[in-house]
Amino acid sequence: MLHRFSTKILALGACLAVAGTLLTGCAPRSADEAGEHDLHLAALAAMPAEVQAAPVTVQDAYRFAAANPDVLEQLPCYCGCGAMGHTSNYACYVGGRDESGALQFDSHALGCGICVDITLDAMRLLKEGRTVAEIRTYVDATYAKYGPSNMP
Amino acid sequence: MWREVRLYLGYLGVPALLAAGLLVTGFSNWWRTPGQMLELRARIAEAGGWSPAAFTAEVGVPVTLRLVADDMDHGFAIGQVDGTRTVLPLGQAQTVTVTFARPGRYMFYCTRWCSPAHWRMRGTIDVIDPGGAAPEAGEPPLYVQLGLDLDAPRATDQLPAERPDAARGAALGASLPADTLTTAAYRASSPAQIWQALRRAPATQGHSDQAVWEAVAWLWQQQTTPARLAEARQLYADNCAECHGTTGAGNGPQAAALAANNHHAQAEFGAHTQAPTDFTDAARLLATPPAVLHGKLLRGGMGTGMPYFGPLFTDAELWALSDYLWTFQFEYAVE
Repeated sequence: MLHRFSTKILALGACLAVAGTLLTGCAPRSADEAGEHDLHLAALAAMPAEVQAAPVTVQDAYRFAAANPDVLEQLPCYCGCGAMGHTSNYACYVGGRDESGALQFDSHALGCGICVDITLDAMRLLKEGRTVAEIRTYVDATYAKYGPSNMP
Repeated sequence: MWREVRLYLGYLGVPALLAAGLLVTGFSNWWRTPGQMLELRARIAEAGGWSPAAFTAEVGVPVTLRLVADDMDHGFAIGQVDGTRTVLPLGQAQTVTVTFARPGRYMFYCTRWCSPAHWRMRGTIDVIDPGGAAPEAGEPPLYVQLGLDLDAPRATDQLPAERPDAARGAALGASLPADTLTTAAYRASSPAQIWQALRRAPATQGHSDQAVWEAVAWLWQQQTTPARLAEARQLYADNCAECHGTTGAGNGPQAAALAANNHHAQAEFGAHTQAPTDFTDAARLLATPPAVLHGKLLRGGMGTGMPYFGPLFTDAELWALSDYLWTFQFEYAVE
């Protein structure tokens, strides 16, 4: 009797699991659910004071930029900053290094919507497992209607 | 045992699946409609903004959003999608159902000035079409096509003696050839450029400089309508007045912090902040082509803290708003 009961429970559980999986599959995916690839971010404490006081998304963008120049140097910015010498999205955050090798942050992105949105897109798409080349295609397709690219 | 499991799955599984589906669907339908569903929670940008801040949806599949404001009253809308705007009183859940007709990247945003960094309170929706082509990039904006530098300083010393009144310029304006100012020429030219061209034209000889300015005001007014201006006035009040002021004089509640460029302003708006543009400054505005105003709205201020409204407004809304800004220079009829 106990054996039969547990078998019923097992079967019912299996059915509910299938139903749950089907129903959950109907929901739109949030970025957090979709993200399977962890991102490396620089420590918030290493950021300039004004970055630490900025909105969370801006903090995240700066922390990502500091830790991932290899990604953002391959992505353009479309905010118009090519006119001020920026040659990639990375330049909106980091202007270079000082004599000790420490990053010299650029405060430009603190006041720029497009710069930060491009970086947030890159972070989201990387978490989804997209390549930098695929992200470049996405950025070009999304932002070219707002302004000129700062990369050839 | 596994034989019995298979047996039970045979006669118990299908009813159980149906029952489970009915239970879950029935339980949730008190606030949902069929389709995709997601809860979005709202907090000011300084505290994290929207959560989640991004999600994906499919073309043609309804998405029901359950929206909850966690820290104060907010507002919600999806840029360029009608029927999605709603207020979010603190703690009172609201629902919005939307079906996307085209793939692409959409933005949702807070519609209420909730904090100094309100303009950062945006989120992303990637709408995909599994059976269709990827979204097209679209053509470059008009200011890029025209080769206009949005960030170049502009000024003219050709100024009217007083604020030009479009109604007073109607007679002279209407006497000019019908193609005196096409929409393409209006968008690409500053009022000062058109005034100079008209000043040289035989049709304006014998008229005063001020009369020619009023003809320019009348020609500018022909590019919009009182109804569009009224719609744009609301857009301006909701999205621009906080910095630029209700009178357009660049003296909204946030203007002082932007002009001071202090530590607070740097964190909220950026280190290159500057006083918001004063649209009543005739020397500056009369030297500015409408395509530059449209471009600034579309692209934003390039590090100055001026948001980019391109993902939020349709192109028609951007032009309506750009056209509205001339009411700070010219006397127009507005409904």
